[in-house]
Amino acid sequence: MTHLRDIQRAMQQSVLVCDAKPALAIVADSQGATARDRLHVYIHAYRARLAEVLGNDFGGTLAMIGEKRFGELAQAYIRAHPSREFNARWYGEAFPHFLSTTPQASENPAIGEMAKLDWGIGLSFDAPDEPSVGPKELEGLAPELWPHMRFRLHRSVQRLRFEFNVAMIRRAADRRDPIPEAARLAASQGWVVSRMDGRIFHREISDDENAALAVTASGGSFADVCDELCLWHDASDVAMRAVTLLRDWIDSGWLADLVVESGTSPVSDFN
Amino acid sequence: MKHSDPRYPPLGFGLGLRVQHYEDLLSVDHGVEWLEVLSENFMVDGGRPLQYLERFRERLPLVMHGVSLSIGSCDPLDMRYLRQLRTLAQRVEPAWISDHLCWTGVDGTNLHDLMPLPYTAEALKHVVERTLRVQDFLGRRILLENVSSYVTYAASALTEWEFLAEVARQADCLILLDVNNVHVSARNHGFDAQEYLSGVPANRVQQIHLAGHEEGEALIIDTHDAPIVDPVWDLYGSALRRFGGISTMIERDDHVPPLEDLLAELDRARAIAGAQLSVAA
Repeated sequence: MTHLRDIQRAMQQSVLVCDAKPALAIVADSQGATARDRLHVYIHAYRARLAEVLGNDFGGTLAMIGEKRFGELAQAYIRAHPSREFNARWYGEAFPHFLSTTPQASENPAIGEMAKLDWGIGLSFDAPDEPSVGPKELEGLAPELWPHMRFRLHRSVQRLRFEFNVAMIRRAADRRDPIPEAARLAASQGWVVSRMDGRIFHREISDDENAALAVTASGGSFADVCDELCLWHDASDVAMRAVTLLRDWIDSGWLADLVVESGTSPVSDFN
Repeated sequence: MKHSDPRYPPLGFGLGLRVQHYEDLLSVDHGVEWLEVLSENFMVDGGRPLQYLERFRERLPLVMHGVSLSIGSCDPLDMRYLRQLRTLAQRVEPAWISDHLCWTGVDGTNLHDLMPLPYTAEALKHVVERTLRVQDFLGRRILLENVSSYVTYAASALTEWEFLAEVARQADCLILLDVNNVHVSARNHGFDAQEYLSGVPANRVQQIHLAGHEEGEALIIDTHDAPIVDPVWDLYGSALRRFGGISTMIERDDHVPPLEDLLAELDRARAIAGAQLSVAA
């Protein structure tokens, strides 16, 4: 008698290699349909289901390259990446990297970048709920303490960098507008995806903002942010720029966990 | 854990909760008495899905229905999944938790499909042991659902309904009877759907699923993406005659129509139940 594990391995092998043969011996003949046809129901369903998962999670990529091309690349990924996750929510995690590196998608280097944006939007969508720092938390803070403020980024914030106009394409796809042609940008752009009140937002950030945000994300203080901005602006403009960025980040809900380590470092010249 | 009737109190007529109906179900006077949520859809850290879940939880009884338990797999039970399931259950406080009598992968791979089991003594022992462990972990009886199938294994020594009944009896668990799946498998394998119903222990059936399917050339395919067909409605009537008033829901997984369409199907289920149960009385 064939054991349970052998049956499961044979069935799984048939599904993964897209061939009824490994499981033919364990399936009983019966009227109405051949064993081969019966096995192909599972073989087909596996590919169709995972392709649907990828289509749902990579809506911008699907809109950019069309159903036929997306389907071909999805099937290539499905062949190369059997799922190891119990939750299909995570099946597409390696899809952006696959699209960025496989020769099969080399005709358009924007594809992998688009997929990174799609995945980032998904991560932001169901990131943990947590309070953002609000303006009132800063209102009560003495100016001399501002240099010592530290934050971390809200867990819905995804920082991305694009060489192509993928954000514009995703926006058009979300609005069901005509999809623009993929095109390389004059210079690479930083983008932030975030969530506020359950809704997803994404916007371009300038290079100085990107650098300042990186300092904040890595645990730097507001004084460190100002030091970073000194590399981008005249010293006389830095304080105003830093405060403007901080206000924008707070209004966008990008910051969490305000901590002020007073007395641990000298007060910055900027306040 | 044993009682004369091991079932949870019935909930009436419900729907599978789908994103397309969130707003209507929150705002329309729809008469839906309970909702079944897909457990995996809410195994996320935060965001809008969990906010909606909380709003529905305040309004209606919820039950949790999963697809990842893989109760029949030869891999070890996935404790990471079970811990997430238990955490979600603590949040949702569902009337009950269900999954499928199947396996979804082996050797660490997940096929994300409800693969049929061979109906053997070995598989029975395996499933019973695992179901007992899952129930101990969750602290409650679970429901296992019959799946549609397209293959019969040469090794099978029991019928599907004999296997299902023995699992329920030996593991002291409950049954989610998908009437459409009985119809699909009966057509695909040439067994008598009425005989299937006769073999299912009445005091173990907690819930009924109703759904549609797709007619193929040689096989019918369980797509859960179409209206319920008359033979399935007829079989539902037979099921109610045998099992009594069982919590019933419409399960539409794809091609999700406007809520009104599903409410009309739910009304038809109510009418059939009314007719069958008045005859029985």
